[in-house]
Amino acid sequence: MSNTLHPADWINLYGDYLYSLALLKTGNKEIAEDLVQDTFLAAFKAREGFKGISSEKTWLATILKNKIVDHYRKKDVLKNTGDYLAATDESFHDSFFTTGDKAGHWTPATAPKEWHTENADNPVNEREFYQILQYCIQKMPPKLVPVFLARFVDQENADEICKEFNISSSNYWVIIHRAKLLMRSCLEKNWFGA
Amino acid sequence: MAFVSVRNSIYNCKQATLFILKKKDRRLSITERARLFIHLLFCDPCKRFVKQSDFIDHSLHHCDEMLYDQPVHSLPEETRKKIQQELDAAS
Repeated sequence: MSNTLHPADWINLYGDYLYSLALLKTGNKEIAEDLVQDTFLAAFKAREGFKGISSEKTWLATILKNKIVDHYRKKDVLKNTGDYLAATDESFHDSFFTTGDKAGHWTPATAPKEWHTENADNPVNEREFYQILQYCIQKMPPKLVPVFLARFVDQENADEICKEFNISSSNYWVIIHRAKLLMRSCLEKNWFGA
Repeated sequence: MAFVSVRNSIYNCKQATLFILKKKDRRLSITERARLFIHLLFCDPCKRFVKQSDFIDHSLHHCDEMLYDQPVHSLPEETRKKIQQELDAAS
């Protein structure tokens, strides 16, 4: 059985979903609206090519995902990533880890504290939780965001991501490491209320 | 000196957190695994980092489903109309 498309229902069925996804990833309402509009129009134009292998929802989400990657490319977000990472290496280290003789350990302020995760298990709070996630993504340095999202939201693997954004494997790991440290500490501050 | 070699063979927290993340992507070498294991034996904050990192992965992994079932934001009415008009014009 293959899936079929129902463009007349798209906005009602997927408008809020795609908009929420675009807003999570870009943190900007106008950009998110434009991306959703582009997605629906591109999907409509490409509807003949829909093979019905994936669901309508997945198909539309993939188009949006590609639009967002194009958006980063156009803005040249990942330009000179290597230089940026090298230039900020020391200040990033110092903001999380000790320096000097016993370098590289957590400081009292940055060491992970115990989280009380019942907060996030409670469905009533899920919406709020995703708003905090969105906030923490927005607060990340823009050069870290595309790779972080590709890895953890879109579940792509390291090789695909390095190729897609034209970055080296070692820079990939610097980005993933920094982004994860930042996301963790942002959630601890803003959700788990240290 | 034995002391130096022991010190060099143990990760600090910066290295440990990197390898905690790498472990999700690939199989660690035997040395990497041993070093990480030893670090985690003695480091409670890094043990919490393992759990919390998994929690973040899980939340982001289910983001898509969650936003479909329960969208956090509503596409503004004006934008809906605009898109509908463009779709109508294209058909």
